[in-house]
Amino acid sequence: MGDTGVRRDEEFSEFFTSRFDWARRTAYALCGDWSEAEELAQNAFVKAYAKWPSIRRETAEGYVRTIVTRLFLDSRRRGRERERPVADLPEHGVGGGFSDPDARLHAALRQVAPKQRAALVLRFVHDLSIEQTAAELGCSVGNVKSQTARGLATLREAYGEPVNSERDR
Amino acid sequence: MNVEDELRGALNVSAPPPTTTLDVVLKRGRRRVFAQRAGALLGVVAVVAGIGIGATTLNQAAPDPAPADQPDYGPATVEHPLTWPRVNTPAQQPYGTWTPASTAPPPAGRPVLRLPQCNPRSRNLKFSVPTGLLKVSDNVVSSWIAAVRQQLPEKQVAELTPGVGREEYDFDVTDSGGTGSIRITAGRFTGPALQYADDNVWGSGDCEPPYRTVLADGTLIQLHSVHPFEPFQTLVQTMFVYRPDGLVIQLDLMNFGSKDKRPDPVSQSSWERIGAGRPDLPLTEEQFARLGPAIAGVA
Repeated sequence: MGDTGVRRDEEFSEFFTSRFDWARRTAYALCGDWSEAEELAQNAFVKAYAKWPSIRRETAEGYVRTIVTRLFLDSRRRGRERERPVADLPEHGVGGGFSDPDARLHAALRQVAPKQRAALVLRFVHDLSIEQTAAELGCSVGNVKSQTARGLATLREAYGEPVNSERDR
Repeated sequence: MNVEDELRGALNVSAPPPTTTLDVVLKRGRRRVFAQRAGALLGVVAVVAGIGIGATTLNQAAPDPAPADQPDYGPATVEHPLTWPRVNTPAQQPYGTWTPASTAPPPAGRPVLRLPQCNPRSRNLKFSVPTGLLKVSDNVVSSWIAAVRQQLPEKQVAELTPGVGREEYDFDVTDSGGTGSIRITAGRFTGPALQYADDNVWGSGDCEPPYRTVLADGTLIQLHSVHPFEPFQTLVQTMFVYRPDGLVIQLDLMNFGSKDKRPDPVSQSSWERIGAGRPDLPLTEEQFARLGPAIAGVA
């Protein structure tokens, strides 16, 4: 491996060390399963490594987030339904035996359709604008607005919250 | 705490320790790089072979040269290239190419456009009134449409499409290739037009710097690249007109028209797509660019 390869690995290693857990948590917010989240985050970083010479450091985080989101949506489109929506929220954590104090939120998120869930995660968890969310999801601004509105309505219902919160921004 | 606030803290959950190590990612990444390079090499070989075969075939199938006594022989097409320069800044590196989602692909037989994709950069300067929130009088909207008709005599420009409660002004544009549309929205900004235009160079996720021209009165017009979106491989090209009086006008050229959408039954304030529209945009870049100065002169 030449100098370029060494530098590439060094830069990438630094990025991996600082952002892998963040990517894994993002994936968990989307899929609600830690083992699948690990797989999604790992696959995203493998893809990022292959493209690393053409990725600007300041946009690398967004690049990985986009891949995680799209891999998640692709897996749902292909019918890889690891999750099993349930009619009622469980009273205890659902993190595969891991004690998860936010189980209620994540269980409620799993009631939301995948694309709507992705819109909610990008808009509220990552605080992206509607335009940025549209670019990451590869859809129109109007589509993001409607997906967000529908997702919030489902989430509120699943979460047991009255519909009185903010509207789509 | 409402559910939005709960969502904002969704990353701060207890998590099991990660099992993925850097070694694993590097090994898989290097294998992927190797596979991509091998694939690219095979692609080059295939392209070279294809060019050779194609050249041979076309040579044999070429029509006879135009007769010297018939100067009008063959189709008479005149293409006007856009003469605006691009903003003088390096291009962005694409992170990949457009891939439509399997749930809403383009119609059968319509080729997938492998357009390069780049990350949009956030704008630092916010418009004082974002485009799409400024209500414009009926007279001005009528004048905009009249200006578009005047600039595009070769197209059929329809009347305003009834809206769904937003300050968006849509109208169909039709030619022999089908129907597309133009959406005009307006907003306000405070400060120099150049500052806002510079701030928005990468706001749409372009890979190439946008085209730009400045009119004698200081109006700055910036034309961005064509972007594909879902569903159905929707195509949109955007042009911003920044007037020195602080009015910003956004024109979106789209490959679908009013018959390809309907009011969203859920939100009631946005559109729902029901048709794929035409395969390309209804205007060339040069035709679309004509509208910038014409629209800037109205209102």
